[in-house]
Amino acid sequence: MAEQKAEFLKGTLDMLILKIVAMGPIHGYAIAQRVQQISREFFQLQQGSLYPALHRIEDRGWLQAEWKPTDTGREAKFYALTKTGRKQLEAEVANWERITAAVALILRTAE
Amino acid sequence: MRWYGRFFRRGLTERQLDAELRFHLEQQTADYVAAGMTPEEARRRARLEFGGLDQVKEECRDVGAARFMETLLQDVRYGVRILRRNPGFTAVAVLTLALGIGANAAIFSFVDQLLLRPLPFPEADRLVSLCYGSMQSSDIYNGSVSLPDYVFYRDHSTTLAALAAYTETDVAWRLGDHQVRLPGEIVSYNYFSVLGVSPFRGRWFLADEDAVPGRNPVVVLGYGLWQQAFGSDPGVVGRRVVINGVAFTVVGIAPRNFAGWRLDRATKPELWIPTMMYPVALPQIGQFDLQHAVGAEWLSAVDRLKAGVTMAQAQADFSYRLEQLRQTLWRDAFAKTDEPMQYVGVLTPANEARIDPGSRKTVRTFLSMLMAVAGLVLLIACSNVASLMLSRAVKRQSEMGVRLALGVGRRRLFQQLLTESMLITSIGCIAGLMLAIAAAKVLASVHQPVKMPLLLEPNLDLRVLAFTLIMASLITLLFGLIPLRQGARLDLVSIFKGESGSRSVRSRIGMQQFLITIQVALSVVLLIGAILFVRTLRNAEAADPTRDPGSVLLLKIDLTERKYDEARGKQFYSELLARVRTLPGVRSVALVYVVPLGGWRGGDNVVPHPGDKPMQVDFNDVSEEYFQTVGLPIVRGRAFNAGDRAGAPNVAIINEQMAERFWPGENPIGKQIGLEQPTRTAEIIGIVRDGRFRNYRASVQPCFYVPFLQEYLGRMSLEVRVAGDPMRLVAPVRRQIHDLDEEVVAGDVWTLKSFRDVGLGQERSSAALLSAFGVLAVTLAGIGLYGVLAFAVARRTHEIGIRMALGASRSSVLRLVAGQGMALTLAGLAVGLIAAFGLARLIASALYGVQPTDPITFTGAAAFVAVVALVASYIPARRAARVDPMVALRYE
Repeated sequence: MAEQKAEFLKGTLDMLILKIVAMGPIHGYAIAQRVQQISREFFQLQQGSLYPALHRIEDRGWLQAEWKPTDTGREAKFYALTKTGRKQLEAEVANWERITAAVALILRTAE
Repeated sequence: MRWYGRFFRRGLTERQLDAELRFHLEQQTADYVAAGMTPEEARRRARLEFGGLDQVKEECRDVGAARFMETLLQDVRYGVRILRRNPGFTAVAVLTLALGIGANAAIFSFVDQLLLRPLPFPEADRLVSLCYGSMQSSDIYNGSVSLPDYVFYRDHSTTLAALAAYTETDVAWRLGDHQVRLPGEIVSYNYFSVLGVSPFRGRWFLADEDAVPGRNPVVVLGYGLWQQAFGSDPGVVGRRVVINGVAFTVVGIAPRNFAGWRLDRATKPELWIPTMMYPVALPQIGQFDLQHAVGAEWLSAVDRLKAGVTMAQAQADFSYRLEQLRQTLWRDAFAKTDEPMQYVGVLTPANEARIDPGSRKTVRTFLSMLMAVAGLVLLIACSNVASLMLSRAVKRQSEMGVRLALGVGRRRLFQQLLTESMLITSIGCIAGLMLAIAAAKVLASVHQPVKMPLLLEPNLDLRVLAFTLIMASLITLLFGLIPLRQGARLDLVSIFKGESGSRSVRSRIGMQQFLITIQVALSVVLLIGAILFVRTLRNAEAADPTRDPGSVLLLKIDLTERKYDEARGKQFYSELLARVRTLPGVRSVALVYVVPLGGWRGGDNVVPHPGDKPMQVDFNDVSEEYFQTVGLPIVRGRAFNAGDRAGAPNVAIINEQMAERFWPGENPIGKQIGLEQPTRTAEIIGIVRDGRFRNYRASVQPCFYVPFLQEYLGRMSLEVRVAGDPMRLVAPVRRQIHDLDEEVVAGDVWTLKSFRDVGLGQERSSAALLSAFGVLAVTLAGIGLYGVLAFAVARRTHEIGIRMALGASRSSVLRLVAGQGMALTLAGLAVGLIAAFGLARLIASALYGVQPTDPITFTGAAAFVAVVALVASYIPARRAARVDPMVALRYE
């Protein structure tokens, strides 16, 4: 029953949020659901901690927010990626890939 | 900016945050219910998974503030890096600002101490000072009242709580077997209680101790004196001390920080004596009955308004009481003189009376001038730094362009530029404060910068600090406007096309040229002021007819305290003259009653022709070698000699002015004139060169001199002409005085030059300060001009290269650049000369022997500024002329 769950790496959450929002305008609750789903519940995300991250990213100008009705007709705050947000995401993804590739290489050659 | 906005939109943000989080929780709950949970269970689970709601909210709120701090830190780091990468720019900007800020802070500290700061007493705004003004002019004051006047106001006023009186004195204080002179105050018994000061030890005076002249010898010691003379012995109250040869009982000790409150004193008082002890405290008045002497005005008056009484009511009361005095006490006393009958009562807030009301205007004018000059220098400094920043802004245009293109917001860019200005100003501010401390020390050590002694603390307190901070904030904002303009004007397209000649750059250059013109104008104004004051000082010094006054030692001696009679006094002085004459290095030695240019004159009646009415003229009492000692030549007849003593025929010497006025066209030698004190007839034996007495501005008055042995006066000054350094003779001369009578104490040591210079303190300090500021201003303007031209050359390298490739000669390029500098200079000079022409009239009354619009001064100042400008233009012009067209064209 030793289910292995990891804390988010610092900074990784921002990248995941950007990636999820990149698929189209989305509200906070849905983002939380997607993180859980996509990572197959591997990441242990305290759902509340999503919001300070969202607000921080919005403040940096990578996200912009808008109040819109959802499918059910309720007003919710939808986040969308800005131009600089998209650049930031590309940069972070590239960076992430460089790091993981390097780490993987080290792990392989060290075996 | 966003964070700032958020602060005000907090209500809205808060509601939105609530709505967003509530939406999340309700959505989650709904999903769990749909999945089959009970609503209760679903809500609980949703809350659990969400985590601490309040903590999340708090973190969301902090986002803006955290970003502000983060970016500020980032900007500061970036700014520091930029400044360190341009050490030349940073050094010039910081130094320039430091000079401007330092000068202003130092001068403000004096303005504050002398004019603004409230008195350090409880409810100091209720304290008022009483003095007499004149019906003739609102500029004339008599800061003192007589003892009978004081008693009358104290006992009759209905608006004043308890009038107190005080005046300064200095007394001989016996310390072991020798005496020292100590400054003190003579005060009414209620002086301390009116000010609201409590004794540190013991008590203040009782009303009964201040009732009968000479009856109660009691004294309050100052804290410092108590520490020094008694080693802080707490048992000193009740002890006896000897003051002016009389035993006084110590009744109290003043608190540590209390040393009177007047600032127009040479030294702080160290002890206090009740008014009724005046016969001992003021030995020079002899048997004079001050208690009943109407018209002997020697006391200043201070009081506290009664509760609920306004200034206007107290003023009306004072005027009414003065009228009563005029009808009663003054009626007979002033039958012969009309001056006091024209007095008007003037009530002023006490903190305006820290300086004698008659002199306050002078001090205010002087300080205003200094403050204005310092302000001008700061303005020049600011415009210089602004101009530097503009040059740099153009250089950094591509950097800004790149950052904008990378998506940095304009606001963010602006914030960063503002941070840079703030950094420069802050460093300049700190350096300026350090400079101010040094400058304040120098200023405070200047002997009598205005025509009176002033007690000034060279310390910078919180008020000065606050003033400096406000000044620095204004400067930062001013510089902030430059990047604001810059940020608003940045046009990405033109930057990347390399169009450095775009409209924004051109307008910025226009701004720079405007600033340079202003700088040149201001510096020529300051320089003209400086030259006018330097010439005033030279003329004033030249008004002293004394030969080489720096080698004449001057010591004041007062025998009246020791109750010498005429015979003993003459004997003392004669022996002293004989002894000092034999000291090595002494050329000649003399006694004189009134030392010229010391601010006052002796006057006496003379009957020039038998049967005339007595007429008052200047008078002086001197010993035989006086004229030789000071170097005033006898133009006709002879000087006094040893034969002119009591019993011999009475003689007098007159000055040229008196000879001309009283005996025009005649030879006055041999004429007999009538003199008083003692009444006698004296023969005129010589005519001496004219000299001024009161000060250098006074007109030359008719004057006569009598030999000291024929008219004895107890207070004389000893003047010793010395070969070499006169200070070497101080100790030997003092020893001779001590040997003759160990209780006689000579006063402060002067030379005739230093004594005269005290009267010239204001001229000297005006000349020195304006010269310093003037040179500083010209230097700054020179640097500014150089900076602008150097920048213009750097920017136009390409263009100059093309010109030269097309055949322009090096000299024509030189002329082109230097001509641009000179055109700016000429414009500045024109503006400056016109401004100076208008402003000089304001200082006309402070000038002497030079017209405020003196053409030589104006031409000289303009020429000097022009030469500096020429040098400043030549360096970049020469650089332009050396441009290699090949290199310049390849550059792009």
